[in-house]
This record gives sequence, structure tokens and C-alpha cells, in this order.
Amino acid sequence: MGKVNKKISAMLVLCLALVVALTACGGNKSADNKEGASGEKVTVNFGFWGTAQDLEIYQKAADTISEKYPEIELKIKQYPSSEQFWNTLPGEIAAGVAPDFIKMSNEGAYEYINKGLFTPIDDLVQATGVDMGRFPDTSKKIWNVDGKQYGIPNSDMPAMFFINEQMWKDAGLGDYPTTWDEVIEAAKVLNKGNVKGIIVNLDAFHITNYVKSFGGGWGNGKTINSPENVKALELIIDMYNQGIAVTPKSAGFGWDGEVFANSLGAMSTGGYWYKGYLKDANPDMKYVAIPVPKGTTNGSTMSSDAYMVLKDAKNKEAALKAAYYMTNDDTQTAFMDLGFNPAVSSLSEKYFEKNPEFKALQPALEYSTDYGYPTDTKRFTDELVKELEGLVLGGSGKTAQQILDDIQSQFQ
Amino acid sequence: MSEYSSKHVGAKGGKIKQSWLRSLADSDKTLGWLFTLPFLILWAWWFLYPFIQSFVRSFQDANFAALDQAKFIGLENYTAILHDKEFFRALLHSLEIVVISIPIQTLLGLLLAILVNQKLKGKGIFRTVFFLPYITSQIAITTVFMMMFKQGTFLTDFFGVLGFGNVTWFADTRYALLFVCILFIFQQAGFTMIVYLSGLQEIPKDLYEAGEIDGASKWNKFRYITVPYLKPITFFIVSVSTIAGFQIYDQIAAISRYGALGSPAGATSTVVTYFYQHGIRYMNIGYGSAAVVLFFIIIMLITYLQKKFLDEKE
Repeated sequence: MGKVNKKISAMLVLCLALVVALTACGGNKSADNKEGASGEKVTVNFGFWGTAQDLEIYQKAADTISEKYPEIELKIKQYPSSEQFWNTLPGEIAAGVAPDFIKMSNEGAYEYINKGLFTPIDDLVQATGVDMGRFPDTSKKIWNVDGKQYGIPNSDMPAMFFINEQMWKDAGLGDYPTTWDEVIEAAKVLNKGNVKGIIVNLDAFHITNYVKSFGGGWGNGKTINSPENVKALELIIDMYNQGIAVTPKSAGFGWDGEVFANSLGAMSTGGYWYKGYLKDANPDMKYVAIPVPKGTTNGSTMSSDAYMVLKDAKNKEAALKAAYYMTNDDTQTAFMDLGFNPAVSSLSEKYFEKNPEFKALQPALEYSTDYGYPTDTKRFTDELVKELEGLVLGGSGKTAQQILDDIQSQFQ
Repeated sequence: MSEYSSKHVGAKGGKIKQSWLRSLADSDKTLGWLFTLPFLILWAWWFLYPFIQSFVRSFQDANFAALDQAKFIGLENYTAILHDKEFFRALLHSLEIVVISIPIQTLLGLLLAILVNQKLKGKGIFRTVFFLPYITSQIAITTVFMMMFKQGTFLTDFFGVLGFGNVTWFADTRYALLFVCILFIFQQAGFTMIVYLSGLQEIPKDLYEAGEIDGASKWNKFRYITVPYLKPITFFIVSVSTIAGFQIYDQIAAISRYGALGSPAGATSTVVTYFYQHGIRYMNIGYGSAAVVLFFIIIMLITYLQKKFLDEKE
């Protein structure tokens, strides 16, 4: 009996080992990809990170794409965050299951374009007959690197400066500020108890807006320690030294919007995403959105996003067509209701009618510009944040000039 | 000689005609290998193969977006890492976490195990409560602790009285690493308790009785019976916890939410966050792989030293 049991055990274990080996070494061909198999439809996979509302809009686009492109089946994949996307992408590329195109912000795109993750679309535009004339040159320019077009623009919106309207009125303050000097004066009045006059998130997006308002910029790594940038950083440091500024981290929060929604800071630089966030986080809050105040000039960042075809897309032409379809009027109008300013010129005019709270930002569309981070964007932004945290949260004692000189030396 | 092995000998005598399957089944050694084969295949596929890949990549200038363009650069990645002061800062932080946390959590786990090993009412509830943090999401625990260690809460007020700054701990470069250690100790103590508890229950009762007859005090019984018997378990706990301490990541990622990993100002950077930043975030998989290989060597070395130290004591 014992011998029979051992035989059965040995056979079972051998079978299990075989199954495990076959599973581990098995291929990953997706049944969904009908391309080439039947010649009927091409499956295009689109990846994005965003809200449930975004997903709903994209799902509708996927349901209707066959009206324009009957040969395309569009599949939507939502990632919890950009971090999650970039974490899983290497594995997905290796396994041949990465999306064919994605939506991404210009805040991190330059690095990935330079590192060869995306394909230039100029030839594809010719081949597919996609009408790039629907988008203004300013939008297209953001997605053009070294003369090559990499993205189909989806939306553009300048950075903003948010003020808690109730606090402002309660403090008896008059007109809203147009310069940083006026912001500082107001912040001194608004600084009461736990509430700080201004939230200065030590994050590259926010710092870049200060820098641009002094006529500075990172110049893709060439002008990191320019005198304009130094002035901007000195302003930030000065606000901390005066005790009128707070970082989200030291207030125990993750980002500026949380501090603002909890009424622990009266003013902050921010973006159109505040609208959707505050609607959920503090629906009763009244706020004002104005252009980023002037340091020495009008200047702020332009947040843009676009659809980009990955270098490893299985069918690049189909991917570009599907990407272009995402900019159709219905989809763009739905996004407009969520606060996105469409890059499609004909629709953009209606944006401020639908979003009157952002009307004051209209002039900033003219002068807001791309971030201009160096090629190693993430390394640069990490270094910038680390240095500023070292000063503000760690008392490193460095000056603005020293901080920027140190960073510049790493990004020659 | 067992029934099984006697049959095996009989088979060698040529009395029973053997099939290849029978000869496989008749060997304890082969059967043992067969039982471990499924695990070995998965281990080789999921761990050994990626490690070999990492090792090869560590000698390359490789960007994960264009792996087909990877170039062999010899030891350049290793040289660059060994010249990077941030790597040594991260390594120091990893060592600090281990050196601060492991003794405390080991002692705490032992105390808790002794406590729940007593004849107490509701000791099952205590065991569950103490073990709960170990099986709870690390992100969830970190988030709760972040709320507790914000400036102006009861805890920061209390620590303020003891001479610590009344500040948000995870946002202050002086306390952020200590905050990570507290989180790690809180989570690991439950695991340590359970392992020690299993060890305590294995100690023969008659040894304690003999000790009592000889007039041994409670402390002496603990010192000369409990501690020596628990030595292999202590070695296991220290080894496993050391590796876990070096690998700590989730808590730091939660603290650094929306910011640079290792925030504030790199005060919580560790060898793992260093690897992650370079290999994944900056897409420099060759450099990151070299950091992983160095990390592997460091862990192997420390585990070897721990074993040697404890064996010598033996």
C-alpha cells in the first residue's frame, strides 16, 4: 500500500512540476489582439491615470470609436497613479502588454521623450490623415521636441493662484493681489493661529511658478542658477523666515490642496484640478482663482496634456487614429465640464463660459509656458525638493544661490 | 531499518523488477527533490532568473525604455555608486533602522510572548491584538501614525515635554528616521512575539521544575533555561528582522507621498529607496541593478556575521 502511495505521490509531483514549468514558461499572447489573426479589427490599448469621471468619458469614447474608425477596437486601462504606471510599464513592455498610447502631462514628458519611450508622430500624421490643424500652434509647440511632434494635444491650462474668499473678506482685505509684495502683505494679515497666510508646497510645479513670475526658468537644465531663479527662491525662503508660509508636509498633509481645503492656509499656487478636488473635499468653500502674481513680470507654467504613442505600440497608425479620436468634440466637451480647457481651438472659446471661476486666467493663456525641466527631470525635481526641504524642514542654512549652484553643477 | 528502506534493499537484490518510476518513488532523496521541484521551478523563474538578469544589467548602461540599446560598461556603475555620498547616506540610514529597531523589537516581542504565555484571562485576545499590526497594511498603519505624530497632537505634545521638538515628526529631518523605526518596531513586534511564543511552548516544563527544586529564582530560570533554549529562535528572528529592516520601503513611500522618495530632504532614504530611485524612477536600470547587487552582498555579509557571532557564542 505504501509503495502504491509513493508511486502516486511521485506521479502527482511530476505532473505538478510540469504544470508549474509550463505555466511559468508559457507565452503571453493575448486573445484580445485580433490583429493579423482575422484581419477584422485592430485592438488598441489606451492607458491613463485619472479619476473615475475621466474613465467614464473614455469608456464612452471607446464605445463610439467604431463610428469613425470601424477597424479599431479601443480598450481602456486605468492606472491608480502616474507612479503606478511608470512602475509597471517596464514589466508591461517586457511582457508585450504595455498600452499602445497614453495620456500624459508635459510636467514629466520631456524626460521620457528624450529617453526614447515615445514615437514621433509626424509620419503617422501624414499616413493617417489626422488633422493637426485643429490645435493651436502654442499647444502643439509644447509637444514638439527637436522639430519632431510627439503628442496630440488634449488640454492646456495655466497655473493659478487660489485665495480663500471667506478668509480674505473676513480680514477686510480689498483687491486681490497682483504681485508677490501684495501677497506677502496680505499673508501677514491672514496669518492667524493655526492658519498660515500662504501655502508654499516645496514641489517643483509650485517652485517653477515662482521662478517664472520673476522671468526665470530652468532652460532644460542650462539656466538653473540664473539670477531670476535665485530671486524667486529667496522670496520663498523669506516667506518661511517671516513665518507666514507653511508646507503641506509640516501641516501633516500630502499636497497643497489638502491644506487649502482644510482652511489651514489662506492662499496657494495651484491648478485647475483644485476645482474637482474642492468640490469633494470642501463643497462649501468659496475661493477665487487668479493668475500667478508677478515677481518682476507675468509668468507661470502651462499645464498641458497630450496623447502619445509608445515606441513599442503594436500598430502605431491605429494607435494614432485612436488617440486623435479622443480629441473629438463630444469627449472634449465632457472634459470641459470637469474643468479641462480643451486644446481644440473651436472648443476652447467656450471654456470660460462653462468655467466662469477661471475667467481671470484667460490672459495667462498668452504668456504661460512649458516647465523647461532638464532631460533628467525626475532627478532634477527630486534634487530641487530635497535641497529646499533641507533648508526649510532641516535648517541646512544654505542660501538660494548655494542651493541652485549645487543643483546646477549636477546638470551641466 | 524502516519497512521502506528494507524494500529498497530487496529491490537491489533483484527480487523485484523495477520500473523507472518505481526507482524514483523508492528513493527518499529523489522523492524529496520531487516535492521541492515545483517550488524550485517557481523560485528559479521568479527570483534566480531576475537576479541573474540584474547581475548582467549591473555591468551595462541600460535605460529601461530602450533596453535594446544597452551598452556594456564594465564596473562603471559600481564605481559611480561607491563614489556617491548619497549611497552611503542611504546605507547609514538602513543600518540605523536595523541597529535601533532590531534590539527593541526583539526584546519587546520576547516580553509580549512571555506575557501571553502566562495563565491569563483573555490571553487569546492579547495575542490577536499584538499580532494584528503585522498582518495589517503597512500603508494604513503609516497613515494612522502620521495623523498621530502631527504637530499639536497628544503624542507630539507628550514628546515635547520629554525634550523632543513639538513638530510634525515625519516632516522634520531630526525625527523622520526615528518615526520610521517606531513604525517598524510596532509592526514587527507582533511577528517576534508569535515566533518566541512557539519557542516558549517547546521548553520542557520539567526543566523549570528542576530549577525550582534547586532554588533558582525567576530571573535565574529565565537567564539559564529560557534564554539558552530560545537561542536558535533569537537567531532566526534577528536574521529575518535584519533583512526586513533593510528592505523597509512601504512606510517611507507613504511618508514621501507626493514628494521625493526619502523625504524630508533625504532623511529617510535607504538602500532600497536609493535603488528604486535610480533603477525605476530615473529609468537607469543598469545603475539600479548594481545597487541591488551591492545590497545583496551587504545583506549576505551581515547575515553571515550574525551567524558566525552566534555560533561562536554557542
